[in-house]
Amino acid sequence: MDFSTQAIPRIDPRRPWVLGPSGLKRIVLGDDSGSRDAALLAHGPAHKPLRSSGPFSQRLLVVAHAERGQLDDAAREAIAAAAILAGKDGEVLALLYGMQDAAPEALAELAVDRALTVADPGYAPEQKLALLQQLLQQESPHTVLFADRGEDADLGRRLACRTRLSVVTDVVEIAADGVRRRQPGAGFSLRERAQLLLLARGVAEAKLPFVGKGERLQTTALSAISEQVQDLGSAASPASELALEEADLIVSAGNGVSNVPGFLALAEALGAAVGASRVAVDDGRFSRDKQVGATGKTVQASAYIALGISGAVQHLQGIKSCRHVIAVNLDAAAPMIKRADLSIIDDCQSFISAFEALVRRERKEKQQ
Amino acid sequence: MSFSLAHALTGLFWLGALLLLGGLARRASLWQQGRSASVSWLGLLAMPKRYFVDIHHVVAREPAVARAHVAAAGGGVAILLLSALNYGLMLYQGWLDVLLVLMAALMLLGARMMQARRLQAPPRLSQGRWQVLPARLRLFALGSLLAAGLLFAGPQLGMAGQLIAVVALLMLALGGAELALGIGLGWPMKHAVAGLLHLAFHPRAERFAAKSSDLKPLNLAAGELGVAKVEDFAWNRLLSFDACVQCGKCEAACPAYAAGQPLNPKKLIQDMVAAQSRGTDPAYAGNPHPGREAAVMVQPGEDIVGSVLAAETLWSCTTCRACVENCPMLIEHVDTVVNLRRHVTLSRGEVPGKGSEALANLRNTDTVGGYPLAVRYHWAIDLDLPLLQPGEQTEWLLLAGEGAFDMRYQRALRALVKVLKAAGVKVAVLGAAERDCGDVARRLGDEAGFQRLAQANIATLAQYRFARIVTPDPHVFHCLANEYPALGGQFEVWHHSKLLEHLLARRAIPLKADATPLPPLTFHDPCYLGRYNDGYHAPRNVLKGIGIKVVEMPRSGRDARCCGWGGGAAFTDIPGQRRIPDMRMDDIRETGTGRVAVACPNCTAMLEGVVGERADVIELAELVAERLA
Amino acid sequence: MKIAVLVAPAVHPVSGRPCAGEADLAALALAQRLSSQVDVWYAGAADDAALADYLARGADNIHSLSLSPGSDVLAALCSVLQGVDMVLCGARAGGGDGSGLLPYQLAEQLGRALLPDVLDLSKSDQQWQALQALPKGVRRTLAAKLPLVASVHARAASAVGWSYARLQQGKIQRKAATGAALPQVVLEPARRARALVAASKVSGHARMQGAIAGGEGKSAGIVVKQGDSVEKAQVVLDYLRQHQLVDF
Ligand SMILES: Cc1cc2nc3c(=O)[nH]c(=O)nc-3n(C[C@H](O)[C@H](O)[C@H](O)COP(=O)(O)OP(=O)(O)OC[C@H]3O[C@@H](n4cnc5c(N)ncnc54)[C@H](O)[C@@H]3O)c2cc1C
Ligand code: SF4
Ligand code: SF4
Repeated sequence: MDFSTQAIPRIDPRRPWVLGPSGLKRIVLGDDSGSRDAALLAHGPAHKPLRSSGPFSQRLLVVAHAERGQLDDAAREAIAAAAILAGKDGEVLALLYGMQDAAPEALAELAVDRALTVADPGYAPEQKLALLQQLLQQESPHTVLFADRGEDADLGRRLACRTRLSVVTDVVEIAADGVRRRQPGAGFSLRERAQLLLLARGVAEAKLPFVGKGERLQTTALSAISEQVQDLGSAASPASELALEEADLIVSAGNGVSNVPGFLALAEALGAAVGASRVAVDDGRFSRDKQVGATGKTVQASAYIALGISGAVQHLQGIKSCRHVIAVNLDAAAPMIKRADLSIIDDCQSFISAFEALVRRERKEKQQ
Repeated sequence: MSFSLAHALTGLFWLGALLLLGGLARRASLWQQGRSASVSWLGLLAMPKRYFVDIHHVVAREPAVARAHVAAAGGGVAILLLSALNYGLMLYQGWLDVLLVLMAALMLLGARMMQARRLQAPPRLSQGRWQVLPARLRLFALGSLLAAGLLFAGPQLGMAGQLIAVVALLMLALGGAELALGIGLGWPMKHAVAGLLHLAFHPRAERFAAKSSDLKPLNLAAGELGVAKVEDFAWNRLLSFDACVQCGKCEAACPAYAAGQPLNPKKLIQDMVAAQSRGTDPAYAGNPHPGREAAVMVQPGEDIVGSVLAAETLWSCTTCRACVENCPMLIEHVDTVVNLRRHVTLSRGEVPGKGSEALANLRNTDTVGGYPLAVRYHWAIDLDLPLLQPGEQTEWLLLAGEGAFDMRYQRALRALVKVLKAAGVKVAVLGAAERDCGDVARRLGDEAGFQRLAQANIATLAQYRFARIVTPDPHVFHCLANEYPALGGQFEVWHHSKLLEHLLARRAIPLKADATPLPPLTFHDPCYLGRYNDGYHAPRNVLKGIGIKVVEMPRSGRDARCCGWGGGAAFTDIPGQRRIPDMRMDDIRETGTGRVAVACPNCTAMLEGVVGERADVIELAELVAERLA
Repeated sequence: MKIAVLVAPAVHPVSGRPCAGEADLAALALAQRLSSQVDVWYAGAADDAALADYLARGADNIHSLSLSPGSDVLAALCSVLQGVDMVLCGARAGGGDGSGLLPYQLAEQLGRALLPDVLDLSKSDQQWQALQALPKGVRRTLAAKLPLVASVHARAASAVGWSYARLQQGKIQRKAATGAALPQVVLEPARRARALVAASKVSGHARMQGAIAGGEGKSAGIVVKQGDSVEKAQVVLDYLRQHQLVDF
């Protein structure tokens, strides 16, 4: 984060930036070219050297599902782990679902040497297993890596059970003496490195100083395979209806939020679940099931946006395990500001309407 | 005619006596539904003392009502006794008639006073039959007066006299029916008979000897799991419900009721009456549980909670004992609340809100908040507070309690340690060996959890050598001092207010010499120090000792309003119209001092949780530490 | 319909004491909602006290297959689950291995359909439909025929509250069983896990910059006071995007 080095950044927050060589964002004074989109990482592959040009005598396989053509951090970390473990003579192979449109440069930037990119067939474990088994036979990688979350975790476990390959799940550390996972009640348990590794978040640093070859891999088409389990379709429930405990993004209102309809509109625009402080609940602004805190819900969102909440201990107890806390408050001395990763000193009402307008505009732009 | 009037009175007397006995037998059969209880028949002998001393303590707080009651009840009882002699035993003595006339006049006066009060009845009083009772008593008194007067006037009655005699007999019959039928049919005068028996067979008879506020342990090994049905109450507990006069003193004192939570202690007691009488008594005509229908359906054989009583009612109680302290009939509401909770918790496992989480934390971590035991004394890391080792000796053992995990309260604990050190007190702590005292578990009905924690603590404490325990947490104090003895743990425990008072009195604490007067403040009594343990003076003496004037709130000392935390109420968090601590903060604001001294970690948290402009909340120890030289 | 629920003690994260696992409790509660013929099974080396929470929270009777520590429970479980229509277990056990592999192994070994991470199960026609919980609140409906194995999401259903009376009445029936030895693991005290980091050829200065700007170590929060609300809103959006907390 570029503005974390100074307490009060004197920057125009909308100013465009470019990615520097170390992967950092740079704002060049007077320059108005550049990007505001953090997801666009297509800059700079030219700056990075190739990890290894081969020849390869052994290989690792990473399997990952992309969402909307993008790999998330967990999947990037799995690939990074493979690239770091591969060594000079090791090749990084990848089976990527949902990245059939990715350019070779994008694959190279991910540090993948060779990738089989296929359209994601949705729920089709048997079909995916068949492809994987074919790939294993064809390429015989010594290790297969999955991110241990979502579809990848499911497929990894299925593969382990189908092929009886040795497996370690929830790997938090890969070291020379083996792999470590957390042991409830103890610290770590150390095991031998298995053929299949399901990786927890943070096992490797996703930012890499090199690129891969970014080639494409071919396999013969598989015949149709019947599934034991039928997929009857999925639906995303609107975030506002999502149980708070399950929500990944929460906007939460406190005593400082007087414009409740405006606040709810923001939540809807953001696709965020709605929380509230006890005072806001007591006043009848929100129902009791929205209360976050010691006597309310304990939430685990990745991002918790606290609007007009002072941050009493009883409230903070409920957001202990939120990764990113963003506070908006008029009072820079409020305890919530101490807890927050990003604090905005502003009036809630005007912030809410500005933020809602911005979110709606940006969403629309994205859709076009 | 006079002959027949006297005989008619004799007949009426015996008829009334028979009806009363029959009614009593019926009511006793309801009480007999309950479990047996070990009671002492000597209680009957102690009854007069309990009536004139213990009840008088409570009733005398409202002198006008007390006077009216003395006149009406005293007159009434005298009339009954005299009638028994004169007419029942057919002595027909003129001088007894004179006495009767006098007593009837007294009763008439009392009933008249009561009736006058009923004209502007405070809303806490029940209506219905209770509202017309004074008029009925007046009838009875007037009837007695006339009848005795006629008898005294002589045997010869004219037409007018005969007419008056008939009227007098009717009045006596009508008025006397209140008493004769009351006990059997559950009318108001039931309270006279049930109340006296309740005094004799009180379920907490020890309260007549000394302060008694501990909850009694369940015999878990024998399968006791609290009260599910009427039959699970001890018979004398059922009797105690029938003593209620529906005066609503408990209702007026109850913080949960005032906050609009669905609990009215008076109604709670009447719900128990309805449950045991299967709804055969006249309908309740008082205030309902806030937000609930007044009427309740009673199905025989059903569990009490869920039929007569909503679970939320039970969980609204903060166990503050304000009701018990104010009840003129010495009814023990908290015992009943906890007995019912025990069933809901132990058998059904239905503890609402975060209560079940608190109990799970206690099971899994031995702390209410789910903290690691090892961090309890982290706040003292730089205070050089010795960790007591088994076998070592200390004068005072400090138990910090759950407040040790609260960043705010850690300030108070640090202040306390500083003061004790300055006073040269030898104090040590248990560190990670200290578990929760079990207060929350027990009040939430988890008797098994409480006994486990208590026994574990008793076993732990037995490994150490110390003279006394001191704790700033009144809940820890109450549990150890009053509730551990029943489980075999005998410790001398002091609340820190008492130790500070003691040290100040001995001038052991070096105080600043400057005479700048400190601004006055008000003091909030913790229920578990005050009403539970009569610890009203020590904290006030401490404040006086450091030169701070206390501006008392109207509700202070015995009448102090709870902060809303007790009994696990902060965890079950039953919704109401307001929050109890907000009301208490209003009380504090009214004193105009802008500062309140507290002597409990939980009061501190509750009062500091009040939003908006509020008074500064300062712990007793912090105030003393500020004055350290 | 016969349902078998598999439970295992979890390890309490604070005290390390055995307690019930949330997902296993949800499986128990879901099973009890679906059928009156529910058998609860445990396989492993834990003692009865470690299973107490399950008794207290609604299991009348637990069949405990006692294995020596460090044995694989799969074979023992498979042998008793052969004739059972539906096997439910928590998606993840909270203790011991807690790898979430067991349902997959069982399904594979017993040759059954696996419904992972289910929030709900309901019958329609000849099939059972499962509502599967996916990240970000997405719900997928899956359908399969009996016999099947389902791993249950912790939020699927809530078991009855902890009751001392149920604990007293509940029974644990032990049966000895055997299983293959699992590979040895070495336990180590907790510390920060070390991430794999690629050896970098960038300048020391750049690496310093990187260490300050990003990395795992959480820097103090940023406070933004300047600018109008529109600008501040942009800062928040940038932050959300930078950490991939929004998808637009
Ligand atoms: C036993 C107990 C349990 C409790 N449990 C909980 C719980 O579970 N959850 C919970 O939330 N609380 C709980 N509380 C209450 C808690 O202590 C606080 O009182 C509460 O969280 C405060 O809510 P708040 O921050 O919304 O209100 P306030 O304390 O009134 O804070 C409002 C904040 O908004 C800011 N503000 C005001 N106007 C504006 C504006 N126009 N623009 C921007 N900012 C503005 C103010 O600066 C202030 O910081 C509990 C308390 C107790 C005693
Ligand atoms: S319980 Fe006691 S205080 Fe309450 S109404 Fe009855 S007699 Fe009065
Ligand atoms: S103990 Fe306190 S809260 Fe409970 S009923 Fe009595 S007065 Fe009300």
